[in-house]
This record gives sequence, C-alpha cells and structure tokens, in this order.
Amino acid sequence: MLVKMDFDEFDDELRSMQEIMESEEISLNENDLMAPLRLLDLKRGVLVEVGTSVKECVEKMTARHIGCVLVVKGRKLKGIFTERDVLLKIAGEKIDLAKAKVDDFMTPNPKTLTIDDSIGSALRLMNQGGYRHIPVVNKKGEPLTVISVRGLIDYIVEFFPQDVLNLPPHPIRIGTNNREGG
Amino acid sequence: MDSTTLRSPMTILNPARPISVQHGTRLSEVLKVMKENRIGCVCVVDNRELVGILTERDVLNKVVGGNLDVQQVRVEEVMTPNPEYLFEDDQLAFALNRMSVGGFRHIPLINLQGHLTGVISVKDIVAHLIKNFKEIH
Repeated sequence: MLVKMDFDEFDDELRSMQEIMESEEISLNENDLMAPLRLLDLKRGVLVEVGTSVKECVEKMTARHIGCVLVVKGRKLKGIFTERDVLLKIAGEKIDLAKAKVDDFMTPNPKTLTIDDSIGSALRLMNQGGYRHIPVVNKKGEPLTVISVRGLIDYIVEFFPQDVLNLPPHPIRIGTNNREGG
Repeated sequence: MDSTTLRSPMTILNPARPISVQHGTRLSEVLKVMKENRIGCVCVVDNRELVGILTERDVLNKVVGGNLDVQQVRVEEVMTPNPEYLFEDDQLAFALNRMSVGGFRHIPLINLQGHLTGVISVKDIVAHLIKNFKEIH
C-alpha cells in the first residue's frame, strides 16, 4: 500500500537524510589536536608523600580504580608510580610491601605537561615514551592532574558520536554473550 | 582520523601479533613473559583458542594486592576469563567504542576459526593519530 506524503513531510524527510549524509563526513583535524589540555575532563591527581609505603600506594590505586599515583615532597612533584612500575619491579619479587617505600620503585622526575600544552603534544609524548599517564604541573612544579591515554581516546571519540558512540557494543553476530574484562 | 578510517577494518593499523601463554601456566612464568616483552597484557589460550586475558590491572589488583604466591598460582586463577574480543576484520570504530565506553586498553582479535591473531591497544590508536598529524608540536 502506498502512503501519501504531503510536501511538509517530504521536506522533513529530505532534511533528515541530508543531515545523516553530512554527519558521515566527520573528521578530526589538526586544529582539534592543537586544543589545550584544559579542555579535557580533568580530575585532581591522587598524591602520596615521599616515604609512603608501597602497600598504601597499591591500596589507593586499587580502591580508586586509578593507574598511578603522583609522589610529592611538600607540594613538588618527585615521581610517578604506575601499574607498569608494579608489574616490572614488584610483582613476583620478594618484597615486603608494608616496609618498601614508594621512592625506591617510582619513576623519578617524569616528563610533565602544563594545562596549556596541546592535546597533540600529550599524544606525541605518550607515543614517544610509551607512557599511558603524564602528570600535569603548574608553573611552580606542583602537580595538578594526570593526563591518561584513556582521557585522550575519550576526547577523540567524542568527535565521532555517529561512528563510535552510537554503535551497539558488538558487531552484530552470534555467540558473544557473557563477555567481560580485557 | 575520519569516518572512513573508522569504518575500515582494524587491520589497517597493523595490530601487534599477540603474545600468549597456555592455560595452566604458572603465574611466575607469565610475569616473566610480560616483563621481558614489556607488555601490559597477555592473552591466555587453550591450544589456539582464546580463553582469557591477564592485564597489568589484574597484576595490580589480584597478584600484588592479593599477595599471591606466584610459584603456586596458575594463570587461569587470576585472568579475566572469556574476554571481549573482536574479529580482525571488524570496523576500527568497534575497537574505539570498547576502549572508550568499555574502558579496555587491549582487545584481542580473532579470525573466523576462533584463533587468536592479534591484539589492538590504545597505543595503536595513538600511534595512528601521530602518524597522520606530523605537524603536532
């Protein structure tokens, strides 16, 4: 059965088709990556004092679901202690976590950024150094937050809501029930 | 990066060949593999079939946090079983979706036979962006 469409309906239909066509041509350009880090959804970094036990750091990271803590002396950044440090220096070793000090296992004097640096510069630093977390400090060298690769991916993905965010969680196929983790 | 890239199969990023351990491997051996290869994630296979994944996060939360005896415990007791995976020719957009919405840093890739063929990670995405935006400073 044919449904009669009046002119207004036809115009609406045409307009929404056009919108879909246009939305298909989104791209991320260099200007988007020149935007400053302050535009990201930033949270205060978790700080521990020099001399804190590894046990306390691990507990903080586990409880707060974070990949790193920033190690400070007074208000100055002295190091970063990440999941990677845990894997490489602690896991499987005979270390008394309650006695071990974070200073001996952290990565000292890490590369830092300021909130006025660009998103692109954070990406480049991560790519060069293989980092997943970079501390952001103010002019006095006091840590403010941590840029994570996850936060950068979220920024990029927001440019492509049609292509990425509105996807079903899995490509449509059979046999993908009860999957988790990764 | 544009819509066309996102609709391409993720093989365009040349995902890394997977580093895997067999089901039943002792944790001490798995940690050695992760350290030697400096990787944050190892896939666990039974023959060639993907059965689990062990990430740095699991090492932090369960191995170090749980103070496990790595000489005794086997990988399947700590790994995340039945991990999310994608097919190697699925669109790249699905990998980004799982990374952003799902919060995964690594996603195992399999072929039609169910064999593990690769792992796509957030690092592959970063490397791709950098390659295409050389003028970033």
